Amino acid sequence: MFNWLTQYWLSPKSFYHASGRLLPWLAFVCLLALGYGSIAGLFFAPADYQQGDGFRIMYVHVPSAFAAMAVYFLMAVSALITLVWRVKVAAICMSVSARIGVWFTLLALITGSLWGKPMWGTYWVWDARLTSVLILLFLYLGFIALQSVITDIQARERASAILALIGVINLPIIHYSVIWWNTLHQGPSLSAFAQPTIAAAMLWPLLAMITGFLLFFAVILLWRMRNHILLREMRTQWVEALIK
Amino acid sequence: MTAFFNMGGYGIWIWPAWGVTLAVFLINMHFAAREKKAILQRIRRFYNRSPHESITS
Repeated sequence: MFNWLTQYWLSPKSFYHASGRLLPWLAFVCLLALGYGSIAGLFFAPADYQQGDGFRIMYVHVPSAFAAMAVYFLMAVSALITLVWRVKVAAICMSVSARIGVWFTLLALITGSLWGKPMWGTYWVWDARLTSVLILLFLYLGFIALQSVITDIQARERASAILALIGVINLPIIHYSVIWWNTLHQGPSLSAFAQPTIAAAMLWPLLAMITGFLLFFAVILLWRMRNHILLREMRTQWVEALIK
Repeated sequence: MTAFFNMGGYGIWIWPAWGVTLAVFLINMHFAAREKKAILQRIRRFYNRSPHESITS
C-alpha cells in the first residue's frame, strides 16, 4: 500500500498529470469563494457595534494569518516525509510552500497593522501575538535563505527540512499567544470546539474567504510544483514527450 | 457611493488592506506564470542543443 502510494501516486509523473486535471476545478471553486466572500464581506455584512466598518479588514487579515500557519504546517509535514522517506514530490512541496507562505505571513502583518492603527492607535506593538507571527516570517525567510546557499540538492533538502521541523514549535505559540499572555490582540473569533463569537452574517463571508485563501494557495502550490517537477525530471522520456 | 468608499471613516485603512491583498495574489500568479515560462524555455533549449540519451522513467 505504501509502495503503491509513493511509486504511483507520489511519483513525479503521475503527480504532474493528476494535479493538471485537478487545477482548473480548484481555481474555479477558489474564484467562487473569493468572489462571494469579498462581495458579502464588503457590502452586505453589517457594521460591527464596536469597530464600525473597520472590522472589514478581518476578511483579509484572518484568512491570510490562518493560511500563513496552515502553509507552514503543510511545509513541516512535507519536511518530515522528505527526511524519512525521501519522496521527491514532498521535497518540492516543502520548497514551494515556503515561497508562498512567506507572502501570506507578510500579508497578515501588513493587514494587521492597518487594522491596529485605527483600533489600537498604533501600527505595531511588541506583544506576544505580533512578535510570534514576526518570528514565523523569519522562519520562512531563514528557510529560503538556507536553501539558496546550499548547492547540493540532497544536502539542501535535508538541512532545510530540519529547520522547517524545528520551527513547528512556533505554531502553537502563535495560536495560544492571545490566551497565555495578556495581549492587545483580540481573542479568536473562530474555534473548532466552540460556538463562533461573531454573527452569522459576518461569519459566512469569513469562512468563504478562508476557504478561498486556502484554495488560492493550493492553486499556486500545484502550479509551481508542476514547474519544478518538469525541471527535475527534465531528462526523462515523459518530459521529453510532453515538451515536443 | 462616496459614503461606501468612506466606510464610516475607516475607508483609508480598509481599502489599502484589501489592495495589498489583491497585489499579493497577483504577484503570486505572476511569479508562477513567469517560472513556468522560464523552466519550459530551459527544457526546450536543453533538447534543441544536445543529442542525448534519455533515461526511461
